[in-house]
Amino acid sequence: MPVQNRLKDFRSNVGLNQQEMGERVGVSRQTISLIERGDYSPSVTLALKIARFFETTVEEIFIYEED
Amino acid sequence: METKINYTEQKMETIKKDNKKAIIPFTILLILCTVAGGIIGGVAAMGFSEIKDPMAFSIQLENNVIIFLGNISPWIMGFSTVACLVTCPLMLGLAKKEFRKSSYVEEENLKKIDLKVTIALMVLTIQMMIQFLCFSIVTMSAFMVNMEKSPTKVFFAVFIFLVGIAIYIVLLQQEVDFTKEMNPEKKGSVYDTKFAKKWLESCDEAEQIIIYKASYKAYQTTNMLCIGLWLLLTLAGYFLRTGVLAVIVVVIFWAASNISYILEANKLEKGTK
Repeated sequence: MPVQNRLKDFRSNVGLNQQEMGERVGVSRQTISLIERGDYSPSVTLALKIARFFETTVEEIFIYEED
Repeated sequence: METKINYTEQKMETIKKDNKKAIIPFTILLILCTVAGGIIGGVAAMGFSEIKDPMAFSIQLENNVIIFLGNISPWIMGFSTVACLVTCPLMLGLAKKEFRKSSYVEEENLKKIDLKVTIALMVLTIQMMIQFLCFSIVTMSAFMVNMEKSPTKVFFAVFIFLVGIAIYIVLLQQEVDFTKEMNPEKKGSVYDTKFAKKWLESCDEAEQIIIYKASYKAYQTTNMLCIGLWLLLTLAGYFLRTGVLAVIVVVIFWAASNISYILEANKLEKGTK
């Protein structure tokens, strides 16, 4: 998986569980779980929504690493 | 211009290399299947040539098989309905209890809940397939072999079939309701004719990708199954005189799956959907 992420850290810092996080950005709890586990790379729209929610940039949360 | 030609040549070289790499295992598999098919066919033909009247043997065998399956099918229908009535509410009940225990459910517990819901859905699906299969067997056996002897058996089978389908719908709705309780954004009711469409629309991007990947896996499994069934039914047609209808049904099913896949993929590529 070339895209790593720090979503779990960001979410924990604001004290939200996966269900609440999902509700904030309009996706399900399973999707947040899949992203955190690195099993799913979100679309640009969702990545931007997440970044906007945490008032940061996409690159701060999602890290692209060349193989 | 020269760079473009070099790139095309490189690309063609890669394609050829990939094909070369893949063709060896493919050829081995083809040879193995041919040999296996030849051996099975040969052995079956030798065995069959020992039978004095192949046609009479086939009819007798078919009748015996149908009578046997017709006799056990109502029991299988009853058993599968009872098994479903026990397993599904139990699994769903445990999942509901676990989910409603507190306002926040841990990730690990949610996985366990999901597993219970999946088991219930699997049992429910298998139960429905058994009902359909056994219903056909019982009624066919009655019509073809011994209708006079088996009205009770047929009525029992019809009754169990209707009860089984009713149970399937009620339990499926319970399963859907609970999934909606866990995921409030989900929409749709199984009583609604547009349930599949509404459900898909209420799924987010990751869930839709899971559905698409699972569907593609199902498509691949269907293809493999159709090849296997085609081979089996063709051999059965040679030696057991099972007729061409079964092979036609498999090929229609196979073609429908592939053609609808190609047409849909083509539509999506063009961006018309």
